[in-house]
Amino acid sequence: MNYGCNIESIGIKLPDRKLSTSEIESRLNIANPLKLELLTGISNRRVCCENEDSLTLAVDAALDCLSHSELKAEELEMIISCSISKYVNGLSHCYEPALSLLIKQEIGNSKALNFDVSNACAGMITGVHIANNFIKQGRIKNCLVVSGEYISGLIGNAIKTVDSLFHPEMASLTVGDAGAAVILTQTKRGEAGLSVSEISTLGRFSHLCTGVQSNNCKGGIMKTNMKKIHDLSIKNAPYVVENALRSAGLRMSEIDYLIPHQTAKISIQSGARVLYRYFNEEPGEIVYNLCETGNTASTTHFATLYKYLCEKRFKAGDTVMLLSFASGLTFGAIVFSMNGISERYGNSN
Amino acid sequence: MEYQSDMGTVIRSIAINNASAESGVATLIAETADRCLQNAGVDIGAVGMLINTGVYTENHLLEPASATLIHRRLLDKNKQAKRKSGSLGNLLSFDLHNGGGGIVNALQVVDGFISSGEIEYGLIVSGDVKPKIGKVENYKYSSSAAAVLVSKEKSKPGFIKFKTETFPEFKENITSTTRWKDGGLHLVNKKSNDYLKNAVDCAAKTIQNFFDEELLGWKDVDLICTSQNPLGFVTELQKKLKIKNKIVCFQGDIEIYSSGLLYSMNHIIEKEEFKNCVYVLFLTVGAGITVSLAYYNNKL
Repeated sequence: MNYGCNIESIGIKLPDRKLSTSEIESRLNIANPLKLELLTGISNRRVCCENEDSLTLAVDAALDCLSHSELKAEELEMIISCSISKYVNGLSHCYEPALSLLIKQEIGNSKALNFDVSNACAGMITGVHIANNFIKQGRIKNCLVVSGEYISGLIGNAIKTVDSLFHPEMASLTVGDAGAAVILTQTKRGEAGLSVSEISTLGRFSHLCTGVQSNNCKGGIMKTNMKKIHDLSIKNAPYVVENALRSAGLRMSEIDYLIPHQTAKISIQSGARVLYRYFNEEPGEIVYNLCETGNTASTTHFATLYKYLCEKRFKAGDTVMLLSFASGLTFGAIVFSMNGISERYGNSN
Repeated sequence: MEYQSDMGTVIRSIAINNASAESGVATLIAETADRCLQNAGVDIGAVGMLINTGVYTENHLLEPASATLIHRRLLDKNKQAKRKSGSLGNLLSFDLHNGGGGIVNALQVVDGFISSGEIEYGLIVSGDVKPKIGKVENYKYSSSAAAVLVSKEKSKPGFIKFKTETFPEFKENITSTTRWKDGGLHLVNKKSNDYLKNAVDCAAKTIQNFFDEELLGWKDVDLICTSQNPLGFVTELQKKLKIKNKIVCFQGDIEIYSSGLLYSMNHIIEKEEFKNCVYVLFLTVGAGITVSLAYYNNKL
């Protein structure tokens, strides 16, 4: 590879409207409470209002990202949209034209190569993986990877059927809407930035989590074999992390922040224990960002990074690992070091 | 955006399939992809990237990526597929959508990963089957699937340049969306009467821009290979460009959508037109309007 690649800016869009876990629980038709908030760590999630959808969330996140960037929209050379949900004008799923084209037009770019990538909750990680390859080879100088997830329709449909913690639609109660965007830019080879990007698919398990548009209810249905997915994630997490650490030439204790896909607190804690047993050492912090946003599908990693940037948690030189577990099953890790971005979000620490 | 690939990513094998699709689009594509791999004598375990570019998902599937369903079926057909010990395996599967033109973008992505040495083989698949769930308006495409296997080749340049241009002023010319109405899900496809004319104009403009940027001319193109859709595109493009260069696409009594370019690739390979050419310009035009070009050097 001839060049380096750097995370230059991040943006998000969260809808204003909140939906609490206690409100969801109160609408379930079951005798004993599920204690969802305790298990998931989710108190609230944001849900779209009228006039908000996957496209508006993605566009607003992209514009927020550009507002933190040194680049102008017209200077972007590639735009990859990574949403699972491609809802436009409410709950109208857009097969074509590509959502990335609509985003490109809305933000004021005419020349970027645009396409959509769909890879469940690993969508943005897959987009970054592609952008990293193109940038490091010198094919492009920058790329906007963006996603808008309007998935709260799953909640209402799940409420009608969920009767226990083991119900296949249980995971639908944890989701929330969000948009996220990241701009990656080219740096000189050897400069600090994105050092590792590795993703693989265990296709044998692609049937364990499926989300479809339904003919019976508006907003889609998602069914998940949570136990099997959890077991496979726990089993494979050490391999994913070990491979990424080896590629980065780092030890686990040298990772300052490990950001897993944000599903549920209990799952992340369980994963953390497995990693500790395997490596016999811990990263600086395993990050949870579930309390106020829930599981926002493909946007979780960058929504979490944004929150920590705004809270001035990062300092230049910190090493971050994004760990992805998604339907497919897709496992991946991205390792990068914080550089100028932490200062640009106001960190003087 | 365009660039020149340093090393040659070449076409290894192509397969097409317009068999009955009772078992669904993922199965149809997987059968086609399996044949493509068999033709090349390559095991699925050797493939580093599997990209599905089909526009319509199986019964409006949102997740996982359709590519992972195809991946699973390919593994089922190849129980002996090797997985490196102690690793997750080396195949990344995902979907890439860009209307009917996703194939060229997927070739571009795979070319990137092959050039950088991260993968050896890339498998790009496509296919469309009319969704069985909900009502469907104006869906005219035949059930079809196609697959192409590409890999690095030292003795041939292969894909050397790519270019994509978009014309969002025509984004309403062809659209496909689901809507909720009358208590059910409807897939609504719309195509304006202007689409063919605009598609031809946009294609001609993109080719000219490509030539201007790369200092190329018609003398540098032995064959233009396009997707079949929109029907009548090749005839109208030939009229518009007023050139003698041969423009070829799959000709059949069925309307192929997202697999159109691969059907046309298969056509020129079967007719031996491909091996007699040095420079081939692959062209897709689709929703957006999006025009994508891939310039291929077939020289030994």
